[in-house]
Amino acid sequence: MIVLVDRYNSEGERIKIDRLVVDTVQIKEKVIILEGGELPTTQYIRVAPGEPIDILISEDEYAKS
Amino acid sequence: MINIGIVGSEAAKFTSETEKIARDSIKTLIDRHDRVVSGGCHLGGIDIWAREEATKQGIPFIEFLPKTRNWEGYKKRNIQIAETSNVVVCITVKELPPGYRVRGFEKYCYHCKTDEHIKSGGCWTVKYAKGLGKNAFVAVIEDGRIVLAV
Repeated sequence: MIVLVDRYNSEGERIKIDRLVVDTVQIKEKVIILEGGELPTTQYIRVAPGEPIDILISEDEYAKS
Repeated sequence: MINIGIVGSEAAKFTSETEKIARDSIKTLIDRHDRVVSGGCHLGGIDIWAREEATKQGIPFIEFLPKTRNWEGYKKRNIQIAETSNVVVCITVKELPPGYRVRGFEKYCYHCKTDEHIKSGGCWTVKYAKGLGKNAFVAVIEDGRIVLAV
């Protein structure tokens, strides 16, 4: 699966910044966890509806959230 | 406990190739979730494949069926799916398959206000789920692959 990671610029426009090929996508309420594929380690993406996407937070940060 | 809602387009909007991609994606998406939620669309497609893949993986499946086959029935059903799910994914396609009988409104998704994928009622559910503060996405099959925009 390809995950298209978008974020917003300062004008609030959505911009595409990366495409990641992954094996598994685990969607939680505020975090998406991506594993496998071209990723060297598990990646965490913090998401909140209506807010800019915070990409690739650390495992430690995820554990604290 | 994380319930994942899987909704999306009817069977006629897929080819055998895009159906396979959709099924593989459903397998990936529902993995490690506690329950799968969907809407049992009578036209087949994503709702039914979600049920089948959940059953194969032994993941409990919750199906909300519309009481009537009109917008009133579908809207209530879609709200039940959004409210019961912690996260919602709508799986659709970028383009209609060859030979699909276009009625005029399918190529532009007026829920998402985009022509980057076809219209799907599942996008309404995604939009409603977002309004409830839930994590919800549209996953689009394009060029033989599926793209989940986060």
